[in-house]
Amino acid sequence: MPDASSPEPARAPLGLPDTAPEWLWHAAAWLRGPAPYRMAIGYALALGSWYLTVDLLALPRFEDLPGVADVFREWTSERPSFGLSLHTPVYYEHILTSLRRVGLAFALATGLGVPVGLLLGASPRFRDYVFPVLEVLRPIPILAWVPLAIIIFDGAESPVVFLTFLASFFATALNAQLGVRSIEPEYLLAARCLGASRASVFWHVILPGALPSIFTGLELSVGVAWFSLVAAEMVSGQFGLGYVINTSFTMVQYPTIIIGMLTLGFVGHATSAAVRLTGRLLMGWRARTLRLEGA
Amino acid sequence: MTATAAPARGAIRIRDVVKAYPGRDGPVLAVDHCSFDVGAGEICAVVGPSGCGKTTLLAALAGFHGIDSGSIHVDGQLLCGPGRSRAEVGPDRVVVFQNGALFPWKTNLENVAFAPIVQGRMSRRDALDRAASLLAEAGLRDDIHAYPGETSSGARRRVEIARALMTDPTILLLDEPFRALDALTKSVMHEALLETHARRPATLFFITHDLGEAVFLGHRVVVLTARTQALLTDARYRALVQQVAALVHEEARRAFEVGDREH
Repeated sequence: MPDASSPEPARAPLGLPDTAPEWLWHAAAWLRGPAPYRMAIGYALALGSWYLTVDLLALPRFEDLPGVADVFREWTSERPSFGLSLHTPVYYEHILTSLRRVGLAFALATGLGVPVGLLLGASPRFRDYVFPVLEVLRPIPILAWVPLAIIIFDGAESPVVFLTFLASFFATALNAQLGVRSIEPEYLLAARCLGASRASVFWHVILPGALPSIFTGLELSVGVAWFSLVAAEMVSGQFGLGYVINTSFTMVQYPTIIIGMLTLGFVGHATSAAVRLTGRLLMGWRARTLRLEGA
Repeated sequence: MTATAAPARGAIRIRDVVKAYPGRDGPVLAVDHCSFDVGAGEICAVVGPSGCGKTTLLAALAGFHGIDSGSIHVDGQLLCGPGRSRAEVGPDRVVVFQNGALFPWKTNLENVAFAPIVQGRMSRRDALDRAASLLAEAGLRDDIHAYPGETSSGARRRVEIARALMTDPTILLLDEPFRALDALTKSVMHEALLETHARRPATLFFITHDLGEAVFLGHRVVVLTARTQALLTDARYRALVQQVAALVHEEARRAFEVGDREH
């Protein structure tokens, strides 16, 4: 029986069949709005000012920078002057190397950070022991860890992964902790009233209650993972996008620097989006509830 | 106690209960030598100004915190008092919270099925079946698979009461459950609560700010002040009040239904 009072998103004007999947509705609604045009204009303005300052006017201090056209030509060239373009296998090798490092570090940070954060939030005793130590370690910049990472870990790969892991771990643990502490106390009391054991309270209340905040942390964590990865790759390692940027600089291959930077932007954005999407899939209740609130 | 067929359960006996909270300038007395009784299966409405200790008393009954002195018995058994400063939190006394505490990440059905599943009393399937029939019984068939966030505030309160009833509690502790509702919804809620109570008689310990609500719902109305008094239990007076309240309620319900249809 259709309930007239339950709000349904307005669907008729989009002219899609009712059977169309959810994401198609979202896409159609997005295309109808002003957002895509604004996005195009935003990109055009950014590229335009680059073109204006470098290609066209060659302003002082900008004249040595690679122009839009140079970078685009190099990026799409089948025989790039500096050996790196969409057509060279080595380009993808750099991307894959960086992705693998970020993936490994992110997995470690999540696997360790989420439990530690949940414990920090749920157990005051654990928090008393661990939190003060974390508070001192957390502000230490990743670059300050580089010597230690190189001393502790063998080879070129593990120091990079370790450095990438560190920043992600802190972001993940702190947000998981915040998630637990932000759970309404009434939920915990209600669960106990209804006869839930400590384990049930954890699985049915604490974990799902902290999940939104955990995913906020994970999104941050992928971001910082890329950030510290590039820092680490600039210091050590023989592959990866950070390495590309650094060596191109010393070898005066300026267009390749920009290619590395933009590739980082695209790949980083894609990984964040993947985390966000996973969160949405795991928290259907949240998407449905937020939509009704018009968020 | 006489040996009747099904002895009613959930008689509460509160004697000389004192509870103070630590404050900036020494302890603040929240409940001061409070004594009253609630009969088994009765609806007891507790009214009083803010800070009179209503919620403190409810929390002591639920076992969320202890009392400093005095005693609370349920069906002759010591709940808290000498030798036991704090009651155990348990499924025989379930709280329905003022702001609602349905888990937003579970559907209404999963919320209602929660207690028997976590207690291991029923298989998941049986619990869901039972929950579905309880929700249908309460007229909430359409809201079964919705999340609490997608459910109207009135329906949400009924789902929460259904969730509490799944544990077959002897005492239901309601902390101003209808406070945030508009007058018409509130009126419908009152009828739903009375209906539910008629079907599953548990003792209802019902805190409210609303004197009209207290009089309409309560078999007994306790006015908590600095000194506790049990009031308004005279049968003739109550009959009169209920007559008036029923008329008002009927009018409100009709208006509500018309409003529903026009939606």
